[in-house]
Amino acid sequence: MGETGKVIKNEYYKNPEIFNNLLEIRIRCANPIQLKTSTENIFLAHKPQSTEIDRIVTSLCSNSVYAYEKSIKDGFVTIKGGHRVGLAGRYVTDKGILTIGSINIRVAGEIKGSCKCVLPEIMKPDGDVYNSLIVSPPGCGKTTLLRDIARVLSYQNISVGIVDERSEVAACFMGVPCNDLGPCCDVYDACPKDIGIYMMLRAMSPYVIVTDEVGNEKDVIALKQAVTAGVRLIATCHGASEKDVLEKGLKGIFQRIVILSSGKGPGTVERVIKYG
Amino acid sequence: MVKLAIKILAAVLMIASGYFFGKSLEEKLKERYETLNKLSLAVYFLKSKIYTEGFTLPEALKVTDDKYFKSDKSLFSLAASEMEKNTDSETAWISACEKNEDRVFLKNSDIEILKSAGKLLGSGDSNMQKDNLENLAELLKNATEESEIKHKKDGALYIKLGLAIGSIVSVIMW
Repeated sequence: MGETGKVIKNEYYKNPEIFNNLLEIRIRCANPIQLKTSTENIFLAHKPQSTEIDRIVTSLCSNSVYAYEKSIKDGFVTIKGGHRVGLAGRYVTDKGILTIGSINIRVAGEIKGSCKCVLPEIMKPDGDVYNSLIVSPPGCGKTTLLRDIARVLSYQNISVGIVDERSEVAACFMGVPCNDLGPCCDVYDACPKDIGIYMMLRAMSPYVIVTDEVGNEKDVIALKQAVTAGVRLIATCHGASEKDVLEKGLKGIFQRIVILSSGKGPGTVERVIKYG
Repeated sequence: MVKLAIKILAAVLMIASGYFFGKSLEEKLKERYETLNKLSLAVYFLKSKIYTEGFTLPEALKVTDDKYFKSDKSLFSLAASEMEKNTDSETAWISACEKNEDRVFLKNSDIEILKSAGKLLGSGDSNMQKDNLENLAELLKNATEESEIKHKKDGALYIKLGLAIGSIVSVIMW
C-alpha cells in the first residue's frame, strides 16, 4: 500500500494499543488518513493522492481488480480476512465506481463469546433454535454476532449452513473458511442468498441456515421456502427498529428479533422482541 | 599391439565425445520445445482460472504452478509470491520471467514473449485478461511449433555432425 502502508505501520509501532480497538481505516484523496476506534478518531499526517489510492485498491484486490468487478459495481470489495472495503468516488451506471476518491476499510474480527447474552434468547429450552433476526444500523456488530452464533451452534454439533454472499461471515479463502466456525459448518461463499438458500436446502441438509443482510424480495421468498422446509433461520438485516423489519416483509418468518445499536459500543443489545 | 589398442580406444572416445556433444545440443533444443509446450498449456489453464472461474491473479498462478510445475522457482510460483508481497503485477511478472528456473532452457526471444504479457496482467476487466492471456498463449504456441521443427531438423543434424567431427578427428589423429 506504498506510503500509506508505511505511515499506518509506523503508527502501529508507536501506538499499538490503538489497533486493538480499530474499527475502520478511512483513506481519502488529499486528506489525512483516519483511524477510527471504538473511542476516538486519529488523523495521520500523510495525505494520499489519486495514484496512490488506485494503487491501494489494486493491492487490496490482490492485483486482480477484474475479479472484484461485480462487487465494485456495488461499491465495495471484501478482502481476505472478511474485511469489507467500501469505495466512494465517481459512479458510472452499469460500471460502478470508476474513479475512486475514498476507501473505507472496515476491520472484521471474530469476537468469540459475543453471543453469550443473546444465545439464551434465541435458543429454546430443549436446545432447538428460534428463527431469529438481528437488526441494526451499519457498524453495530450484526455480522460479528451472527458469526459467533454460527460458531457456537456448530460446536454444539448442530448442522449449520452459511450462505455468505459478501464473504464476511466465514471469510473464505479459496472456499475454505478463515474464521473459526466449528466442526459442523458448511459455507456457500460469494453466493447470492436466494440461490444459496435453495442449494443449501437441496444439497447440504442444514438444521440452521445462517445468512447476512437479508431484505429484498428474492431473499424473503427464499427464507419462506426454508421455513416451509423446516429449517431454522438466523439472519441479519439493516434497520433500527421493528418497523424496518415489517417494511421488508420479514415479520412472519422470525420468532425472535434482536435489535442492536452502538450505544455502549458495537454489539449493544437494545432489546429482543419475541413472537410466539 | 598395445599402441594399436590405445589408438582404437582413443578413436572410440573421440567418436563418443562427438556423439555426446551433438546429443547435448539436441537435448537443449528438446528442452526448449518441452518448456515452451508446458508454458503454453499452463497459460491456457491460467486463462481459464481467471476468466471462467474468477480466481484472483495470485490464486490462479499458484493453482497453475501446482498443476504444471510444482516448484517454488517456477515462473508462476515466483510471480504469485512477489504479488503477495504487494509488488504490482507487471513488476512481479517481469521479475519472475527473469528469475524462474526454466529460463535456462529458453531463448531471449522466448523470455521477451513471456514478459510482453506483464503490462496488462491484472489490469482492466476480465475480458482484457482473457485477451491478454490468449495473445500470450498464441505467441507461445507459435514459438513451440518453431522449436519443435527446429528440434526435429537440427537435433538429428547436431548428432550426425558430432559423430562426423569425432570420426574426422580420430582419423586425423590416427
